[in-house]
Amino acid sequence: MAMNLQPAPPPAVDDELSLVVAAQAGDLSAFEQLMRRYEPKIFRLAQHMTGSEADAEDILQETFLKAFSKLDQFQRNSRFYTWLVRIAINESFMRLRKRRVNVVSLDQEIDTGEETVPRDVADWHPDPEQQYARSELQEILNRAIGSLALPYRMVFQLRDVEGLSTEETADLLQISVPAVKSRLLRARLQLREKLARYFRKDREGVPQ
Amino acid sequence: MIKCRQFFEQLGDYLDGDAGAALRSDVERHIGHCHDCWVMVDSCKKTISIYQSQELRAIPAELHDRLMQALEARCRGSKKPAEPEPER
Repeated sequence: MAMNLQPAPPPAVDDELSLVVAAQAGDLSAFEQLMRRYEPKIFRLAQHMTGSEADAEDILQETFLKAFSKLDQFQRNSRFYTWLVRIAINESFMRLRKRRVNVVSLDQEIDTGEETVPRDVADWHPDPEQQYARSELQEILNRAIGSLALPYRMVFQLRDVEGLSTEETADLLQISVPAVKSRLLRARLQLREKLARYFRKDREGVPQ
Repeated sequence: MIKCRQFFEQLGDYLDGDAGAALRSDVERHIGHCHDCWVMVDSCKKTISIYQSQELRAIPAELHDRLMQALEARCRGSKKPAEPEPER
């Protein structure tokens, strides 16, 4: 089966709705079109959540199998992608639990002991990502997000990477809106601290 | 004029565009004078933007094909795609 070399452009909403309606009526090719749109994003989400390509493959597969079997439960007034993300997040939790990663404290305030007070306040390069080859940049970004504590990682992933609203994120993670906001700020500050040595104007001392 | 501590309290809302006009102008006046806080805003914005513009990789063709085969097998197993499963 031929693969798209590039992910599909963002879908028109009504186009998506008609695909969902067709898929709910049992049209597998309509579901496949939805899959093709969202596979790369769900894969990246799972990879960021678990830090593992092998786990991400399993999560991708489970997410779409589960979505297909639960299509009748999808409410058409919500976004299909947000619904998929919810399934993928649950699958990621299960995978992390199997690896005995502590995911029980997601609704509690957390103290990871990591400073959010900025230490590295050097100017950043005006176009930081241009300093690295694509694969090298991807590794830097994956490593940085993977090193965040899970509650911060999830909020950053959902809000800043997936583009969910604060309310959608709070609902999905079953935490309060203020908790989303405070975790997001901490996540951003910790990430920028981790990335500073790669993206500062003067990169002396950065490990190659 | 607000101080660094107040700037920090407003940073999240400022980055999300949720700060009101007065707070926004306070923050902008502060970072116009405080270089460290300006770096905070600039580097946070760049951090977000780098992750958002990260190129999406198409998944391997064999992974997609494997998934389609699993779905087809499930379709053959039941006439309707909607097959209620117990909630975990």
